[in-house]
Amino acid sequence: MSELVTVWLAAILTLIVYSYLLGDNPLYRLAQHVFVGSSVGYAVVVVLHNILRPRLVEPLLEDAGANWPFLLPLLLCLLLLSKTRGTTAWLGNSAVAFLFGVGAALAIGGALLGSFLPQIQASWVSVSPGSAGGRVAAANNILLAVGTIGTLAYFYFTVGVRGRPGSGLVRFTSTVGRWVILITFGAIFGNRVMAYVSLLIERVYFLLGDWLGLLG
Amino acid sequence: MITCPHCGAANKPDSRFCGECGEPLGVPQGVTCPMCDTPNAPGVGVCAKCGAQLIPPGLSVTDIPLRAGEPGEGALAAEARLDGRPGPADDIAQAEEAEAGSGVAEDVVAPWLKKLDGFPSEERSAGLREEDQPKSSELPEWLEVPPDLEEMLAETSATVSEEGVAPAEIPSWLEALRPDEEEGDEEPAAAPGMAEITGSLKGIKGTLGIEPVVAIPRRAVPLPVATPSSASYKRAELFGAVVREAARPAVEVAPRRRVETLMASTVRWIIYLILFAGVAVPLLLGSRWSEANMPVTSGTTAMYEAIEALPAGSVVLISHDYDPGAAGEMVPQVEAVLRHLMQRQARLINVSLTPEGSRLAQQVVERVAEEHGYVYGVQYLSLGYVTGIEAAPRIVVEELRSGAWSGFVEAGEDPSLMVEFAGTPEYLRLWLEQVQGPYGLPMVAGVSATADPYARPYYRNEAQRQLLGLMTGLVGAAEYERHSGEAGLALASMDSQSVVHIAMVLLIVVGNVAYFGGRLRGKPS
Amino acid sequence: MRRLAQAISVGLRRSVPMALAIAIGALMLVDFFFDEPHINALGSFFVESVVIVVAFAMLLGLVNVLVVHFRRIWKREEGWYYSIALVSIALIVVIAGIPGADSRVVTWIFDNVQFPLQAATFSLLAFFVATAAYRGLRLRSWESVAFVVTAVVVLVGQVPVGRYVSDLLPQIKDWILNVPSTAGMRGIIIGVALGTIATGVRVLTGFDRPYSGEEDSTR
Repeated sequence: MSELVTVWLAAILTLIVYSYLLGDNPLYRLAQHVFVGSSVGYAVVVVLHNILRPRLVEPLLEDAGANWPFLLPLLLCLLLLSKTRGTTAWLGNSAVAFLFGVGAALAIGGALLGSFLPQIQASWVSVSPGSAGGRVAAANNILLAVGTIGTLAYFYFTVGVRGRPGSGLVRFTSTVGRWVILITFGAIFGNRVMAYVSLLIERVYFLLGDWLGLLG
Repeated sequence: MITCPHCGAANKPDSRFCGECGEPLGVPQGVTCPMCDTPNAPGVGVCAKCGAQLIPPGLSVTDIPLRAGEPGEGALAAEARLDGRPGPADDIAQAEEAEAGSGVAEDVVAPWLKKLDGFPSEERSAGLREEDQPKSSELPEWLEVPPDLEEMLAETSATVSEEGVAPAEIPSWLEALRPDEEEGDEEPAAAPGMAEITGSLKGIKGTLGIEPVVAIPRRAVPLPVATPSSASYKRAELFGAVVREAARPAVEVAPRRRVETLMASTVRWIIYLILFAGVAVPLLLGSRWSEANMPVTSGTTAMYEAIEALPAGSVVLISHDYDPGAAGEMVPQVEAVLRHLMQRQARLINVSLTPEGSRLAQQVVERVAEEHGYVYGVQYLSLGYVTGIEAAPRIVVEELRSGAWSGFVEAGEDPSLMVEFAGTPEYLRLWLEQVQGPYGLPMVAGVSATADPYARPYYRNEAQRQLLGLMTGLVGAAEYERHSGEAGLALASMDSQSVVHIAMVLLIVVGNVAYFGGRLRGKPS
Repeated sequence: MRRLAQAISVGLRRSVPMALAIAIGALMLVDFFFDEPHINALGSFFVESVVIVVAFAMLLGLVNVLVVHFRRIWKREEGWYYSIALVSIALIVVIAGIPGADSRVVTWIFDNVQFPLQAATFSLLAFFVATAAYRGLRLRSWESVAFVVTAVVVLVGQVPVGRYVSDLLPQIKDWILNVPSTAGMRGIIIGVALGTIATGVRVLTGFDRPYSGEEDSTR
């Protein structure tokens, strides 16, 4: 395929998507369906060739004797297949239970060791007197700790089931948390805008540069 | 104070039966029409709303039984009657007869009735005294057992036995169904307030009086002429007036709406054009003004330094967890970092948690590898796509450590660094929780700007350095390019990024000015 | 007798998956936190099995999308023209991908069809966010002031123009991102981690049975 055709195809598809700015139109709908179709097809190909073939099919075909443990995932896959029919769906519950068992255990371990404990430690250590840094850093660390606790208080006491608490300290902390969350969301929004603008720049660069050849 | 119509005695206002003679005190209850569910006043024979008959044909209004007290009375009467009755034609009645004959009269009545406190059994009914009667709070009104039960029992049973049941023992409800034409207006042996003989309603009078109305086909009765009230007349007039009113033309409204939508869409198009121009013009002009003013963030600097510090030949695990939707930000990042890594002569293992990531990575890797003379299988590997949510990062590292890729990286030789490219925070979290936390692998991350807020707490962890460096978005890539001195796509895009950011801020400002200006002038926004 | 057999079968149907989840989960927890070679080896095997089974489940889901659209074509339901495009391009990619994911047709379609479409779709968001910035960010309350000021500072502080205007701007942006924003996100991360742990414990103690296929998965 000549370079020209491919570039033009990509450019036309990009412009069709941008036609959505004019309003929803059949051409845009067609483009979206083509996108979904191609991504579904591509995912199928990748899953088959990148995972199922090398990890399940090939071990079993090459040396079924030594690789007999791979019969377990094969069995689980077949059980999962039974979920397609309503009458046999109950068979698939065991396969799903296996997935949930492993998944839940890994999630617990990961959340504990990777997020919960380190983040708690981060808040704690930063406030303890031994940490390095000048007065500014210390002040920032205190703000960090207070803000973290405030956020948790806000979600737990205000958004949670308990409703509004009476204690003044708790209410104060929740209010602090509320303002911290507002700033957080503002930062999230600002970053998002930055991300989307970057994506637009990439597409326009393609249109102007690779397609129209206007860029040096 | 109610005066008994039969004996003239004075009774308490709440009484239903005369304390002296036991006769019902004649406080009639109204009947709810079965056809239209309207409650009707007592003593009314025809529904006021729809004209349906409320009493069986043949009965007069005065014959309408009273509700209060009758169920209990009727039930007791039925029990009393049961002893001396000849075998009925009805099977059910026969069965009940048999049961009654065995002296288990209580089974005949409905269980719910039996459960009520103080419901008299056969044995007790003879010796019933006032103390045995249930407190009025426990029973509903109509189930209240009236005082002087025995007297009532005797009288009612006498009444019933006097009238007698027809020799054929046709139940009363069946009798009532006899067509009008055959019997005329004569009601066969159906005394006013005839009690139900069988079933769970046994002994209860008065509830089925309206059944014939429903079941018997009868001659059509002309509907009464509707006599509307004055209120409904007024409403009807109003309705007629509204309907007759000519439709007000909407001409005045339309132009304003058209103008408004036109203005709105014009504003929209101005915004789109500003955006497009803000991106395109700096690119077309090829301006490189931004390079001199690039901000320096600690995260990107730290990431650069972490890679710079790698000894030659270190094994570096790179995960490409993004898709074409984030490629605009991520590909320049990946390219800049790969160049740096290959400069440092690191051995690269590429993997991806998204299907598209492996293909996108392949494009960049092959391009940069060619420039640096990297050979597949010698200096870099591509493991492709791995899935399984939490299981995916785990299996990658476990296979690495167990020597699945021996020849490239030996068993037990942990990667010196892990570089994670995350388009969404989910993948970053997976790697942090499943690999960085448990195995303590040194890790840096390049993230899309949308994921930066989620990644920062991990970078800003003074206690446990979870992320040694953090690069954010296209701006981060531009920063990195500047660090390495190799200007690429990211730096070239920075002017556009600057212009559009300023445009966004101006849009916010102008939007607020327009809004508040409009408010001040009194127009709704 | 038949009732007994039925009751046993129903009981087994419910309890076998639960027993499986709890047992496997317990083993994986031990594998996660401790270094015992046999358990680690078994745990690795289970993790690899999960990768395979999840991949297969993904495959089922993807095929299901195709089946749904195929049904739409078959029954000529609304929008079946579009479904034809979807199904045909998917089948083209799958068939062309039989030799491998690196086949020329597959990569060509990915690079020149899927990539431009997906990249352009997400870049549309820039336009919508711009109109939202104009119309939606009204300074109606002190809360919205905090929100908008933060967003503006972050926007301007991230880009070179900000640094040009004043060196303070990037520094304030850095402070905002590193202190209050991090505090808020840290609270959210801790909360989410707690929730994950709680949910995981519920699943591993059998209190929650999302694999049961019933509507109400809790007891």
